[in-house]
Amino acid sequence: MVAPQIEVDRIDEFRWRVKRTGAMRTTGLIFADSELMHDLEGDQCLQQVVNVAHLPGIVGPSIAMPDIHWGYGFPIGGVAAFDEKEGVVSPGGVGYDINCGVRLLRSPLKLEDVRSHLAPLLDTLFHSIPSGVGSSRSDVKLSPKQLDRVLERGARWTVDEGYGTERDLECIEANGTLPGDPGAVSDRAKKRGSAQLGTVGSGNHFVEVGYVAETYDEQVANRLGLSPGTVTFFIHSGSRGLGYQVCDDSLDTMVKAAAKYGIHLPDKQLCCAPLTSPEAKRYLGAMNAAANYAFANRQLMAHYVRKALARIFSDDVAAEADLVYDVAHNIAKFENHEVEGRRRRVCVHRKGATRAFPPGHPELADRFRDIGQPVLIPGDMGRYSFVLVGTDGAFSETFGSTCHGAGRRMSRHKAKKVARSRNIPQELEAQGILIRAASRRTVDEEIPEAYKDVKQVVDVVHGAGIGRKVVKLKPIGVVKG
Amino acid sequence: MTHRFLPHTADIKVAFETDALEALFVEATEVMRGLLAGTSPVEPREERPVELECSDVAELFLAYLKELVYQFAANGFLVAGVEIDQVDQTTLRARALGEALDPERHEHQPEVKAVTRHDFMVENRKDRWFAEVVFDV
Repeated sequence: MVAPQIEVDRIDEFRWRVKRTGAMRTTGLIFADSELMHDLEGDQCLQQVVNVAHLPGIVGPSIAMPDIHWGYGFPIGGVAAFDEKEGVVSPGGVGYDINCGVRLLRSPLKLEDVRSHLAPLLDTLFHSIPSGVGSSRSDVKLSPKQLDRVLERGARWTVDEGYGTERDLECIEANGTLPGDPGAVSDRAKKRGSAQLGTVGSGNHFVEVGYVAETYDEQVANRLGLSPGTVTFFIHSGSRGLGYQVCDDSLDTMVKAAAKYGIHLPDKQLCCAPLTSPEAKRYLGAMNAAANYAFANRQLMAHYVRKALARIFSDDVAAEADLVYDVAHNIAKFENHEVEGRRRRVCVHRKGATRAFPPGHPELADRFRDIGQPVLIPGDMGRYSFVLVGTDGAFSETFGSTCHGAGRRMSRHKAKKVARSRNIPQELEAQGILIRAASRRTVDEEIPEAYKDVKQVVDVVHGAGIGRKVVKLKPIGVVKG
Repeated sequence: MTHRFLPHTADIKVAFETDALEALFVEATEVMRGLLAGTSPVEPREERPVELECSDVAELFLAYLKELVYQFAANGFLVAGVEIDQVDQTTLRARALGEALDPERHEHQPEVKAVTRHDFMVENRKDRWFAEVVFDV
């Protein structure tokens, strides 16, 4: 099943084709410039693009975004669609952190309004949004019944409880609710999730204060409330321990299912089941429930961002802190796409990839109909992040998907070594970026140079037409785990 | 009885080599203690029974590591060591010893999200036990 040699042809400036060889059912399509592609030479993630191309029922190519890197089973930065009848669903195509995603709020404040209040603002965020390993909330403890409601209703639950507005829901992928089945989520997963709603977690998750530093599309930027100097809040987190446990439980089931349905796997982490099977239906129910937990989690954290704004500035400032958008970047969803001239319902796996629907797509709220779906691409904590919008190009070529971030280029171990003799918070402060972190170790592991330059990644998707740049954001304060 | 950390871009990979199956579980417990608490001392103040039955030794070893990750994630239980009452290729009866996480005394560590099946291996060769595990952190 594993191709003996990976043959890659250049298609154009930003596209590379992995030839179909051996038992591959389709080709691979990689988005990258020469330099990014050069960095990928010999990297195991290319083999993973090939591995995914072997799975039953794959429709279109096995796609890799320019921020591709090695992941469990599927590469991170991978997109693959599967036919609803012939295809499969794989927990490895979604990842451990189900519906890990990002949300961006814009405030009515400008950079000069915030600079002198930044330290108390960050302190308030750090204390009101628990971060770090096993972080939990003492003020939001969910009863089993309440947790089931979260798993069924997602961000809708959070808004109904008074943490947000109807407008917020319009600005979330799938309006913040997927068809989750709490009954498919194990007691262990629920136990891990009972006290973690409204917490950011650790690793690469964060809450970041930034501002609009550069504008590429003034008209769209203004429509999104992102005029130059506007202060923004980026939230990056997912379904926390509940999602990890759902994935872990599903892998056990799917290893058995793959054997039962005669699906040969080169890597056990690619384990999967036919979309029509009871195992797949159960996984999708549990995955959607975990995705709802993540939507509710980010919605609750946004509430605490608003509360911090009310405390440091005023209730009016908090009330005007609008949600720009909230997107998942680890998810599998049924969507309608045109493939080779035929409309088909497919299960699109996006693992470290972002939905990027074009203007006019019926799933978008009216406010986005003429501009396309906002796409949020965080970078590392020292440089910049980007806001893009979805395009027709993405819809026709990548199942309405684009990149998701910078992607690691240095191991955690190496990053820690590089950072050991330095004082990273002090270095960042010298650049005008304040850090509040639960642990020094996390900050050291997350040093900016541990990541690829997200600008290079975004320029590829913009150049290839699978996303369109709107603004660049620069950080001024970061809360880390 | 040894373990060593292998290079891995995103996560943590550990290779084990022991002279007995029981020692493999003891060594793995020590690795978990380090992953969860770093160099901070963990006291054996309470014990948690671990009773597992699996189809083979690899699944048993995986299930044991998952149990320790779960006990920490769900209950804040930091493992200090293990008393093994019975172990064979499919069954483990043991008591994990440890204490509740105390942020004042226990150094903050990156979150161990899961024990993965990637490159996962448990083998018995010439009376020695070898295992490789990748932890998602």
